[in-house]
Amino acid sequence: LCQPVPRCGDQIYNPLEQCCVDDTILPLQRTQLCGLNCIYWPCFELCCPQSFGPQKNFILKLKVRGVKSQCHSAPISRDCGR
Amino acid sequence: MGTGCFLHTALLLMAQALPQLEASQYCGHLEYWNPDNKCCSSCLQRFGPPPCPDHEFVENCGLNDFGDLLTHPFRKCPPGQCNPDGAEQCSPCSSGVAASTPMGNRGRTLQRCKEKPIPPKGFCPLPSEETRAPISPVSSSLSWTTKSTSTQPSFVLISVLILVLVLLLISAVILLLPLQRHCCRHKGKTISLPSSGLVCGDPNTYTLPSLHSPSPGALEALETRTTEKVYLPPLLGKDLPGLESQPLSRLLDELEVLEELIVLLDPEPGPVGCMAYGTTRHLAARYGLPATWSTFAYSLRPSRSPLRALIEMVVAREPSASLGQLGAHLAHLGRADALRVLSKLG
Repeated sequence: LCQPVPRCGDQIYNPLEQCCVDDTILPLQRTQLCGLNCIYWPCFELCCPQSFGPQKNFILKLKVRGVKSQCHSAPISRDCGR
Repeated sequence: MGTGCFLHTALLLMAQALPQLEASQYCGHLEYWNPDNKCCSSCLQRFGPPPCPDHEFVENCGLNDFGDLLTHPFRKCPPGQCNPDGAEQCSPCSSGVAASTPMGNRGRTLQRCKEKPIPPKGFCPLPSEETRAPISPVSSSLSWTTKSTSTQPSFVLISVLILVLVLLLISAVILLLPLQRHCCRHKGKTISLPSSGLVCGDPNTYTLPSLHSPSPGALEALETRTTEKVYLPPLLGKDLPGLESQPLSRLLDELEVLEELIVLLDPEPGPVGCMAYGTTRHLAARYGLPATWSTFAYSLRPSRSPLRALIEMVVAREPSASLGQLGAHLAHLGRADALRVLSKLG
């Protein structure tokens, strides 16, 4: 069954090896920092600032494939503060 | 003097060891460097305008030149400055004129990424958020996500439930074992599974393969495999229709059943002695997730269960997903033990 090739901005990518984050193609296994000491997988998680208060923690939310995930509605993956 | 130098050096070394948010070497104050596309993107296009009044973007919206989000992208306006309209920066409260943007590209060529539409303003925590526990959309999603785990039944109720479950399990095993032996002697036993369907989606996004049960060809392969190696409980065909009408999200509320499934499916490798048995990793593949997602999910252990993450993902992706579909996948993986646990919800 033919399906449209997934696009990331102007480029196409292979969803089995890559993902599209902010119009940028990333390898699925890419990890980055969320906050000062929390490593997350940008292809599968959202780095969400948790609070506007003095303790500016971050919380990681699960990205739902095929849906534009948002911090306020995505399920929690884990708390970077813990 | 010597001690002072030592302390100073130690502090410098510690500061270098920790990731620091320094100003971008390539982009202006209200932009951030995209290390993969090698261009500067606008903070406004990524985060939208400041969601709360009297807040502004921090330097490079908290991102360093490696793409790490090190600090919160917004901060409160400095004293004497305001931002009631959600501009990128605060301005003197009296004048109402926007403050001038600090120096931009620091003398380097500014390569700008492609323009994107600005997302709408996000949710803002309540004003009293700083004095008490934050009540933000993030927290509300926290409460939504933890709702299923926060209401703990009493100890007595748990004990009674466990006792009843154990008794039911024992009696089911005693009653069904002879039936299993009897049924599996017959060839061509058909297994009733939900009909398949296709998932259509936005052509600009990658759509998952079918979240429903696989084709009849796979069903035949399952029958062959089950008659050779795995004995499925004969109640499968009877109970799956019951499960079919129940949403998968129910599993997130039935903590005892979920915990049992986690114990059965998360460990790797699968149950000893049979290569046909699958784990959460195989279940994720059944739901169309790539192998790397499973690698990510398993990296969350032990603090987070890959199976729970998978169920939450599937529920968020397709709220209409049913327990019957999960049962079908477990059947195709040859996990009769997990099916027995799941059938408790039937």
